[in-house]
Amino acid sequence: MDGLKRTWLGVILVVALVAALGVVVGCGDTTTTVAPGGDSTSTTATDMGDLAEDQTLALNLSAEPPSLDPNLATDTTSALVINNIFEGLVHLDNDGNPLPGAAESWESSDDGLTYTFNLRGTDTWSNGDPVTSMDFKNSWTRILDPATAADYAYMLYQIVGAEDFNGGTGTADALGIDATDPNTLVVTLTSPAPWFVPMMNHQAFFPIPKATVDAFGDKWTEPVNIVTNGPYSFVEWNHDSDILLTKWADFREAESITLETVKMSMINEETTAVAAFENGEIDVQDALPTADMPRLKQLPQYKMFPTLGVYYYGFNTKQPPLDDVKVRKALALAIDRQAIIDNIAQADQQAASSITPPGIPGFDVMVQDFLKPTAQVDEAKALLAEAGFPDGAGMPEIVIYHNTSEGHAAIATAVQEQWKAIGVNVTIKNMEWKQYLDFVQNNDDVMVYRMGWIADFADAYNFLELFRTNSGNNYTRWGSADFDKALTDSLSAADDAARWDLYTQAEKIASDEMPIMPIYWYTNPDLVQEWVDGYFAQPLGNQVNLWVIKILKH
Amino acid sequence: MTKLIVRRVLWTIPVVIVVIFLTFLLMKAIPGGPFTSERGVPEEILRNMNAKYGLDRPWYEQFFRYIWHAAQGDLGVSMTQKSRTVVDVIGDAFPVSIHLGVLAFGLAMLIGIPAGVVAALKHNTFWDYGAMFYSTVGWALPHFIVGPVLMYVFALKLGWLPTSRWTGPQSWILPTITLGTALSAYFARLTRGSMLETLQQDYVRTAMAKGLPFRTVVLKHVLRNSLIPVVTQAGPLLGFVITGSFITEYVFAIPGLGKYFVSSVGNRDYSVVMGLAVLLSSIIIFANLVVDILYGVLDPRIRYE
Repeated sequence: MDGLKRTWLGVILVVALVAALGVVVGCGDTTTTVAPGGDSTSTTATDMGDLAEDQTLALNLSAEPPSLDPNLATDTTSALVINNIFEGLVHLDNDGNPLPGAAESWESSDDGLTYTFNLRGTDTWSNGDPVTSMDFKNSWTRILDPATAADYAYMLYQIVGAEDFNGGTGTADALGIDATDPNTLVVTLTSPAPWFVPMMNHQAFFPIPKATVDAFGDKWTEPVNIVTNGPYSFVEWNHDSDILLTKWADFREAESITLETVKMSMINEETTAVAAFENGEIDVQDALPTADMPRLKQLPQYKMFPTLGVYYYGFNTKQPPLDDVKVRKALALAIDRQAIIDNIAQADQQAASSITPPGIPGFDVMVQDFLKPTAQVDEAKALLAEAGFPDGAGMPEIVIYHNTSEGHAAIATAVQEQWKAIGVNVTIKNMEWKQYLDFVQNNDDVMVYRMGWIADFADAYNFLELFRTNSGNNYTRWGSADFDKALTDSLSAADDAARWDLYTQAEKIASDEMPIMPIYWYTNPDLVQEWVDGYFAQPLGNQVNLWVIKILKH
Repeated sequence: MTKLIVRRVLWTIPVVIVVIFLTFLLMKAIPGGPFTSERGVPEEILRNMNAKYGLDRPWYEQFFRYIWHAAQGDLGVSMTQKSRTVVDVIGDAFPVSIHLGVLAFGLAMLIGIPAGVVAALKHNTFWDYGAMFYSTVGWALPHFIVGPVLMYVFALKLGWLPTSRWTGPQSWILPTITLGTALSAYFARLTRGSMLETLQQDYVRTAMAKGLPFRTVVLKHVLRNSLIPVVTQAGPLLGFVITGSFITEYVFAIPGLGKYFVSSVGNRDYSVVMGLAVLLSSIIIFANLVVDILYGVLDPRIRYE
């Protein structure tokens, strides 16, 4: 019980710690010269003379990757390692477009239901075995096998027979995955999925070396056992401490890869990591302490990358007075998103005017301006009066729930203030993360809750489907047949324009009925030493293609 | 003595089983499970995951299976770190925590006990007040203040030491001081109090009256007897220190066990929570046993049949 008591004490201390650290270290260093930071484009070293002799990158991974098994990993930390030691069918460029990877080319059938991937036939695994279509089929069959109990099996549910097999009612033979010859992989989908090809860059779809997996079981991802097919070899893994990758000399494009060695550390505490960065111990840090943001933003090493995610407040639409759409709209209009970003979140997030964030294909042509960055207090008050609560009179108290965290608490307090301005009284309650999830998912007493979504794949569908009627991610108790229909129709839309039009319709329904109130779209602020050329954290999962990085002379 | 040890070691078994049982109950009582996630995972996937870890079985079956496997040294597989068993996690992290714990504990004894002795001998002088000021401040300053301040001064400003991580002797210094300061303050206070009490004893006065050299009286009579309460506290304290200090390890990014006491509960990683409860309770029991044996060495009055 001591362990547990210490644990709760620990949780309390962490909160105090984060606050204290921000103060202690935050007030330390005086600001260096102001440079045009936040620039995400990088210079390109064309001249070999510009390159440093030692091509080593020290990147802080922040945490122990929970699993390096492509079929079992579910987090971006693990994905960062997996993406650089394994190779999927495609890579993504910085705009999210698929580039040839293990597949040299691919084509889809006219009905969008069949995809054929053509492998090169010359690629090998690190043990010399050829990379074949069977390696993909084996991987996909394994992730769907109920015995594997893979969390991300649902990523493959769009493949024929996948959901049945994973649910225990179908067989592996019935899967729509055919290795027709060693270099051809044919996949059949249940419905068109326009994002299917870029999705092949997700680790769930990566190949596995089946013989190695079978031989070593859970331990196959240890460096002594692992067999890989990506640009980097997995050399060392000291758990909770560090990981060492080195360029794999036999990789297909090894000659064009400059970066030789990647040392990954696991410094979890952001303030410590920033200190390590400033002390020259690490070259890349991608989680920055909010309290220190005003200073860090001024550093020349500060870089801002877009990221596909939305931070929002959900309403329980069955709970009075939130069952009235006018009340929900009034509350959404009363929010000054820009003030929250400027004063609290502080990482140059973008005020969210809809659910789907920028960077998603079609964002520019989809109509998105449903919510303004600043508060529309008069309109909000008018709506509230229409709903029968003039200046908030007679309005029951609203409860905002959030999971315990300093950042969420600060935002909740700001929202409380802003709602107070239209006469609405708010109480804030917080809970430990899993307790919180259990509460918002299962307890009908929930009123307003905070949540975020980071994209699994780069398509508006991934954001909008969260709010389908009875979706496992829809805690608003809201459902709209029209909304569902627009999404279902989007799957068989004739072209992108038609599809984006349907997404716009869905967004419009969501904004008319306001089951959730988007607050901001996430960004990904990083510190990157100026001599690291080509570093780019992708909008999808903040993934980094290490093989394009070069270390300049410094 | 042998009988005592055997008896105490045997006693460990029921105690650990009770600890496991209570931990198990508490764990089941807190809301949310290892697979509660913000991503609405389909029902069938949850079923698969629960089946894989045996969580679909009745609770008593889970409990007895755990005891049965634990008896054979199998503490299960981590539900968060999917390729590692609990034994792997403890095996990797525990030695680091022991290392840091022993360093900090050693530093604490080295500073704390002499400081307490000096303070007691120079009672109500500048030395006493100085030592007590140190021990009050040292005990009151939390690790999350001491750690970052040391890091800021010695790593960022002076550049003498690395900021963090556990990579060699240089990196051991700051965490050892951070963790050792509070402990040394505690030992100083404890030693001083105990010394002052012992100094009043008749046998000390007798020894002095006999004309024994002051040094002999202090070292052979006073200090030795004064250490009994210190040792009583030190045993369990060492147990806690070597199982990892969450704050110090977190601040300095040390790959020790400390963070698992927090993260395993946060993740509802049932197998790791249970494993740590077993480990911590065994160590505390063992530490107390060592203390009991040390009593006998220090004080002839406490000898066991």
